[in-house]
Amino acid sequence: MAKILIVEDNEMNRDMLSRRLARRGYEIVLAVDGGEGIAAATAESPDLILMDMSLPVIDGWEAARRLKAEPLTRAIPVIGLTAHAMAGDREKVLEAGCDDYDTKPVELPRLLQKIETLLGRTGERS
Amino acid sequence: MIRLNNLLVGPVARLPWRVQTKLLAAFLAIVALLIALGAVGLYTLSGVNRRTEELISSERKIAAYRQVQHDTTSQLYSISAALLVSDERTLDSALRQLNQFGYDLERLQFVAKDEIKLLGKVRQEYDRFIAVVTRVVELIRGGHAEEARDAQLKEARPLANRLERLTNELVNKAEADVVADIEASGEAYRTSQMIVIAFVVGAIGLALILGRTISWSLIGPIREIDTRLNEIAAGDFTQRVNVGNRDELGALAANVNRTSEQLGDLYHQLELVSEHKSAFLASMSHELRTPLNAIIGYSEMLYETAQDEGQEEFLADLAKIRDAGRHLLGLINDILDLSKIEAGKMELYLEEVDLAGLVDEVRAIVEPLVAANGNRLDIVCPTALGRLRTDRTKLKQSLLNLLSNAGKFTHQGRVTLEVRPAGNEISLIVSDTGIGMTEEQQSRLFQAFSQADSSTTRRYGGTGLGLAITKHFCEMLGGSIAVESSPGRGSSFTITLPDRGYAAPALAAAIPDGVEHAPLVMIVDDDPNARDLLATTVRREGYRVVEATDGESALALARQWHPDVVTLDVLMPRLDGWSVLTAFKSDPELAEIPVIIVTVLEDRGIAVSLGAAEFLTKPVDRGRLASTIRRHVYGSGVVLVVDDESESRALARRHLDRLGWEAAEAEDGAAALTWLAQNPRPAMILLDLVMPGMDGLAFLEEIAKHGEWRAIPVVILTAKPLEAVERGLLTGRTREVIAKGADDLAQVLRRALVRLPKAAEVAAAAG
Repeated sequence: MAKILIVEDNEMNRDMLSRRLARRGYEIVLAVDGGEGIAAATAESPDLILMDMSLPVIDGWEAARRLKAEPLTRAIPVIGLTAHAMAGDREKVLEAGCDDYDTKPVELPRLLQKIETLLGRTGERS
Repeated sequence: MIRLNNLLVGPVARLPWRVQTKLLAAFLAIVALLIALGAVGLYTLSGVNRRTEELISSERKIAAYRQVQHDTTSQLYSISAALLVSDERTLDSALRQLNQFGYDLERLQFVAKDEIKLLGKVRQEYDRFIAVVTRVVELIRGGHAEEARDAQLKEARPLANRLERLTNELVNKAEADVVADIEASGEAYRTSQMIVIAFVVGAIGLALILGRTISWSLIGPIREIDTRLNEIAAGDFTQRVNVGNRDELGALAANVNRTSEQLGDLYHQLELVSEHKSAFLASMSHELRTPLNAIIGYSEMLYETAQDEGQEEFLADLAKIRDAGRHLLGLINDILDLSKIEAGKMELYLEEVDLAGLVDEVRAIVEPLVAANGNRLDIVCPTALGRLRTDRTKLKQSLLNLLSNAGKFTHQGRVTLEVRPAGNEISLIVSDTGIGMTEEQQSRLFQAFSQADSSTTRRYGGTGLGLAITKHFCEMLGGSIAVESSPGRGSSFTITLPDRGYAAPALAAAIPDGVEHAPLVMIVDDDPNARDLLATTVRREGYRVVEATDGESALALARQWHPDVVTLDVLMPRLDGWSVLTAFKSDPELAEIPVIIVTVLEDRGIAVSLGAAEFLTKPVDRGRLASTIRRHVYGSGVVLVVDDESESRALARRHLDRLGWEAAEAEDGAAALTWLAQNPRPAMILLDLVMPGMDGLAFLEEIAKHGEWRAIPVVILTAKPLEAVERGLLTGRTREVIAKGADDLAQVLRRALVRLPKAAEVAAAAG
């Protein structure tokens, strides 16, 4: 089953998201800030990354940029998560190198669809 | 005149007098001049009067002298008569003559008192003459006729001759006086004339100078204060009114400055408060959202768990927790949006939006919401919609708001979203067959926290902020929203957007104005007056104008609007013109835009080395500016006009001429081919289709065979409607088809020439 890295500093959000996704059969890896996220992405080679954009240490924008600049992690699809659909957030998130974006609180069916699309896409490619 | 103005206006403005005192002083100065003029007039008049009197007295003298001469002659005559006819009567008459003589001599003494010496002599001679005449008369009476004749001849005659000489002398003198008087009088007249003219000219000049000086010492400060007040109205509190006046206007200026400072302080404080409020709301929203996320998330998880484990009795309650959480989240998000809008912090992200795609996304989200109340969702959307330059998120949110409202207030009915392109605008109409609204409800519709009825919030849910936000969004996008509704018959909301995106409200002044589709000139200058001046000239030449007040906004606006030409000031605060020019030239998106430096500086070398297209020094000559812009917007070169009607060719030539282009003429296809073979490649061909000999279509076939001619853009000029076949033939080969007489040739040429590569590139391509 696909391995998903969740980078999220808020404990409750991390807990909810990981349990809900685990319940649907995904293998979950957790990271609490941008730096840990990059390390986990390199070490664990997840199939997809769910990344909160407002993170301590290294924020999500910078983390996404670094992941996409690194040959080892460039191919991993990243879904950026922001707190509220602010005007321009979507553009900024995509600009930072994320492959898709969604808003928190997540609507699970919508997020699952996005995850499946991206996993399917990379599957086709490889 | 300007220097004189400065020389006078300044000091007059600085006089520590009140305005009315200054006006009174000017008035009194003019009155004094008029009084002086009157005095000079009176003095001149009295001189004239004196001379006239002198003339009259001279004339009197002359008459009296002549009388005396006449008397002498009569006396001689009467004596001669008495010698011939020596009767008593004749003798008496001779003696009476003597009396008359005496009387006239008395008068002479009266009228010519000033000729004392000569008159004394005349008197002497007269006395002797009387003595001689009396003696002659005595001799005649005594019968000594011989002696009397002797006395007459030897004494009376010489005496009479001497008297005549003397009186002649007097007459001559008097006549000389008259001539001298007349001459002097003429001289005096000319002098007075000069004096009077000088005084009149002086008085008028003084009145004009005083009037002008005083008016300008008033108008200058008033204008400055007006400019300042306009700046204050526009929110700029940093400037001060600097006037030298020490009168009421000086006091007014000081007052304006003080008010401006206070307003500035107040504004600054308000800004701080508003910033604090926004920051507070933002952080509050964040703090509220985090626990809410947990509430919503965990209630969803519990719901899922309950579903999985078949604990149906919990489902309804868990759904209530989840929905209440979602509602609260929506409310918080809306409040945050509204506070951002009110603080002017809501930003626009304009991009090319595929409208049909956006409508599909919206449909996917709204369809279940609308269906929940048993409604049908209809989408009426033309297939070829194209792209719209707008803010995707805001437009989407607005449509979602309207559609979810429509779904909420409609049961077992129909909700329709219609997209209707209309000219330069696009209308997005959301209509429903729901409960509708009264006029009174409609009037409060777009206000925050005001649903049509406060009970509706409870019945239908929603925050009551959606429509207020939607209205703000539509306005930010340069459009508007309108509603039509009546109770029981549904509602219809229409969003109208311009076909291009619009700048954020902060840049409202920077939206291009002018004739639609005209080339766009961006004017960058921090001085509003300079900007106005340039903009007026540029607009008069038929361009659209967009103005930028500083370097940063110039770059932002250039990326947004892609102007055809930029005029750039150098001396600007923060980012100066050289930096802006460098930024332009290093940005691939902007590098091609010709930049005309307009400055008071003389650094042509720097401008050229940084990549400026032209360099103009302020003050800019209007004609020069116009021709410079024209050269860069329309380029220059040769257009081949192929038309059998000479009037049409002349018309095209006139239009081209005005745009700085040269026209070459050919009266049919064959002549055009000959011209092409003999001349360098023209930048464009303007082609009539119907011509005797080789017609337009045949000509197009011919040039298609030549590799180098095939690339020449062709604009078709035709009087007849085109058949589908012909249209097919023309497609791909021509730029534009113009109906003769119907379309505006000037406009079409402008459009076509703007899109041509500039002359230099054409030459390079041809070479």
